[in-house]
Amino acid sequence: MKLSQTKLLALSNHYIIWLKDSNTYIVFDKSNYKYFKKFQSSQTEVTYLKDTAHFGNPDLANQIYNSLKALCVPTSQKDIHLSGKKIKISGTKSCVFNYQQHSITVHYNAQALLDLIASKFFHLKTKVKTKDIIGSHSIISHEDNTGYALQNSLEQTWVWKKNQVHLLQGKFSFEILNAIHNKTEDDWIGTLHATTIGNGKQTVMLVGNSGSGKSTLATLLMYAGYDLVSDDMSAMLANNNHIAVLPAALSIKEKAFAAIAPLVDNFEALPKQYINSTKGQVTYIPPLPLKHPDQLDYPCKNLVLVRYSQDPITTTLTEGAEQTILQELITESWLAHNETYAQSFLNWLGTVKFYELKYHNNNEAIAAVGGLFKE
Amino acid sequence: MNTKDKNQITRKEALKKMGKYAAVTAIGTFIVLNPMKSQAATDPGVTI
Repeated sequence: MKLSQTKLLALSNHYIIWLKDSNTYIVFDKSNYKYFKKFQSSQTEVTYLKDTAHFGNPDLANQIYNSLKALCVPTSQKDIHLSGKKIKISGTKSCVFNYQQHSITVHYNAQALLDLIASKFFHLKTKVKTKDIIGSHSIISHEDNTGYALQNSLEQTWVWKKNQVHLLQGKFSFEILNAIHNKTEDDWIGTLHATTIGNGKQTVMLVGNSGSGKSTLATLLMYAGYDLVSDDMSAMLANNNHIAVLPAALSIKEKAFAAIAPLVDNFEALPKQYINSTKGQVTYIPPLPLKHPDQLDYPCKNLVLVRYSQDPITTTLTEGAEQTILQELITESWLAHNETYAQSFLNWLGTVKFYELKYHNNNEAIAAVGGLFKE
Repeated sequence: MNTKDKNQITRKEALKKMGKYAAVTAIGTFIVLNPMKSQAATDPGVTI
C-alpha cells in the first residue's frame, strides 16, 4: 500500500505532503510524520504494524494506517463544472470594461445576469473607447432556465447549474484577471481564497472565513494608504509566485457599513445589493489607484489569519496558526493539478510566515498589519 | 429565560459550516485538504 506522494514540505510544526494522483494536500503533525513514512515504506499492514511497534502506540498506528489506506482508493475525478462543452451562446446586450490598456467587452442576455457576475467590476465600465488598447477581449455570458454559461475570447465555454453561481462568478473574475494580465489558466498556480494588500513592494495576505472581517480590514488598510492588490481571489502566478492585481471592488457587508462609511466619499450613493437574510446588503468599494500602476504583481511573505471579535479584546498578532491557515487556504482555493506548480506552491509556503490577528479595535489592527511591512 | 450564548449557532448554520469543510477530513492525527477544482467566488448568488 503506497500513496502517490511526490512533494513534501517541512514547516515549523507540520509536514505538508502533496499527492500527485488526487491533487490532495495532507498536513501531518511533525510528531506523527514517522507513521506516514512507515506506511509508504511497508509492503503490508502486518509489516507496517511491526515497523511502528517501537513507537509505542499501536492504536494510533492502526488509526493512521486505516485513514491513509482510505486515501489510496481513487476518488471520483468528477468535476463540478462542464468545461469545454461546445454550446452556442450569444448575449443580446453588451458593455465594455477598461483597465489600463486592456478592454473587455462583456455580452449578456439579462441585466440581472450582469449584476450577478460583474458588480465588482462596474467601476471599470466605460462608454469611451480607450486609445492605445493593447489587449481586446470578450466574455459572453448567458442565463436560461437550466443555468448559466460563459465563453471567453479563446472560445472556451463553461456551463453551470443554477445552484453553482459561485463558480460562475469565480470564473468570470478569473477571465477578467486573465484578460488584464494577458494570461491563460495554465499560467497560474492557483487562485487563493484570500484578500491581499500591499505597500508597492510586497504584500500581506489576509485569510479567514467569509465574515471573519478580512474585506473590512482590507478596506480600512486601503484607506490608511496601502494598495488593495486583490479581494477574495488572490491569484498566484506560476513564473514568479507573485500575487496578481485584480481590480475588483471590495465587497462590504451591511454590518461593516458604520466603520467604512466615514472613509468613503459619498458612501450613501454607492449601489447596494441584497444578498440574503444572513448577509443582508453588500456594497462595493472600488480600489484606490495603486502606488505603482505599472506593476501588476507582487511577492507575498506573510499570511495573516484574521479574527475580528465583536467584543472588546486586546489586539494580538502572534506567529502560528499554520494548520488553520492551510485549511482555510487550500480547501477554499483552486490550485492547479500540476506537479511543477504543486512543488512551487509548497516552496512558496516554505518561505512565508504565518500569523493570527485577533482584534476589535480597527486602528490597532491597521497598525499591527502595517508593522509586518516594516520587517 | 433565554440563555443562548452569543457564540452558539443554529443547527442550520452548523450544517452549512460542516458542508464547507466537506473537503477536510479531520482525523485527529493529520488533515486531508482537497483544493477546489475550479475558480470560485465565496459570496452566494445575489438575489435582487
